[in-house]
Amino acid sequence: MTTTKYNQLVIDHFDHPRNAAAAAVGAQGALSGGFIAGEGGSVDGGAWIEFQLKVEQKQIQSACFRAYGCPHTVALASWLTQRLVGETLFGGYTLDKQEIGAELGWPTEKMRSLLVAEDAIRACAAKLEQKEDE
Amino acid sequence: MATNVNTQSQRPVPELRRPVYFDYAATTPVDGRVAEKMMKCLTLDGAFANPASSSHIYGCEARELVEAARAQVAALVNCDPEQIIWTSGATESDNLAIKGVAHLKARQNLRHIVTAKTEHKAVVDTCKQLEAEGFAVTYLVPEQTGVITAEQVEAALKSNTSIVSIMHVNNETGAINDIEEIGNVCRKRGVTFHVDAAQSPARVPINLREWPVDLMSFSAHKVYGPKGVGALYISGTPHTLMQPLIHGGGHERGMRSGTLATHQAVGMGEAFELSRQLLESEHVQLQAYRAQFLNGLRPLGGVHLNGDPDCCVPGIVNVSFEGVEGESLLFALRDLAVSSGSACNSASSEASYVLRALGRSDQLAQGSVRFSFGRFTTEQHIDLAIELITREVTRLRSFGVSGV
Repeated sequence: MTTTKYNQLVIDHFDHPRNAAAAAVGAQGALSGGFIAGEGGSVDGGAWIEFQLKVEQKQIQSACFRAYGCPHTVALASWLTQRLVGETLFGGYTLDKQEIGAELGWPTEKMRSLLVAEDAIRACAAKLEQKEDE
Repeated sequence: MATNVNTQSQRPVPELRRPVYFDYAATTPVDGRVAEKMMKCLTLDGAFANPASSSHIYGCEARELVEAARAQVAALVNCDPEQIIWTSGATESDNLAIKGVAHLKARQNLRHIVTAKTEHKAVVDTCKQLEAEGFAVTYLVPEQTGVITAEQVEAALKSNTSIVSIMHVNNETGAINDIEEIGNVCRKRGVTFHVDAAQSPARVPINLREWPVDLMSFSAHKVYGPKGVGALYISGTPHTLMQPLIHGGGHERGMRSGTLATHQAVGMGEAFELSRQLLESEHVQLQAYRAQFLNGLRPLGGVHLNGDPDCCVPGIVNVSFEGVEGESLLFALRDLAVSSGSACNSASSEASYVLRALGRSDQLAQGSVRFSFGRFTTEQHIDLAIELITREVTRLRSFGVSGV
């Protein structure tokens, strides 16, 4: 069994994703009240993540995700839906790569997926700003 | 911080002791009957001697076993035993055939080779090496069906072409090339024709007495024989056709020196003999498994069969799943021992060139899996695969991209 590539936490989040959003309800028009959505990456590029965040006074209250990609990408998106709660959402939001490296045993060749997740969070921040301007 | 590790079983199918083996195209287990014969060639009370030692009974016994095994290999592919030489496997056979011919024919200024992008690495990388040595190589791209046609080969031939190397059965898609037609084109133009037939012997009939083929590579371990032994069929007089790679005692008609591994040759012979007896019944069985598998996956939707269903071997099924990424799919299916769609290339960025040649999008090429069935596959194995694939593909799609 080729499980050595993935640490226990990655396997757990991959097998039992937390806060997974239904693919069919992903369209932004279908988002339930108070949620904003933002995406990063692309399917043809091999990794895509969308976060749907409920934000109050710039603070993330709850999060769910949709993802296409390798087990690390799926697990990261799932793990972040828990980790992001309580965080302040802003345009230049940066993931704590050291923490992710330690928790999820992140392989260096998959750094791009971290940026995909970061892009998705930043896209949410942009949506939030847009909403506040309206 | 709370990571909330779930302690549920990490096995998708907890009742399985080990994953179910669906990777017969990568290699096969040695048939018990083969292993038994091999073990009789190793110890003092067996045929342990050097088959080249003609001065004593030990050597003669080993020689007899090696020659009987050679006849067994020849019987399956319908040629004379003298036309078969032992090698360490299909990779060595491919190297010997292509380099051996290219280097000899270079003396007549024939320095062009025709092969295909869909060939096994043992052929493609050998040709790349010859390119580095100054040879010119044409790499054909298959039709949408995954097949290389005689017309394509004919169009690629030049006045200085020395050898054409085209495989019989493709290891990734199971596509079957028309060896007779391609061979006829080569004969007409006086070009040497080599065929990598590593995937063929347990799957399709081979008739070298009728086929216009000069050189054909075989492997034992794809046919329920041991790893580390293969053979090369040489149609004519070896020395006028090619040069050896390995020099030494002049074994195997001077084409492959080195003390013969009696147990390995005996294993390959027995494996080919069993395959000769079982070929027809196994073909019918594999066709039934293939139909069961594809019918079982149909309700899932968004499943694409890679390759031409009318022109491929039944034991290899290469499928792509819409909206599912390959690495995740392989991991989700970790209770099935399978390969990603392009097994030998899974570590390279060119992973999907065969599937791209078949016209698949990046996403579908990424999401391809090769299932290969064989002698020890059962109906229950296929049912289990269908159940697990259906469950996991549905699950991965449920939180994935809609409408991919």
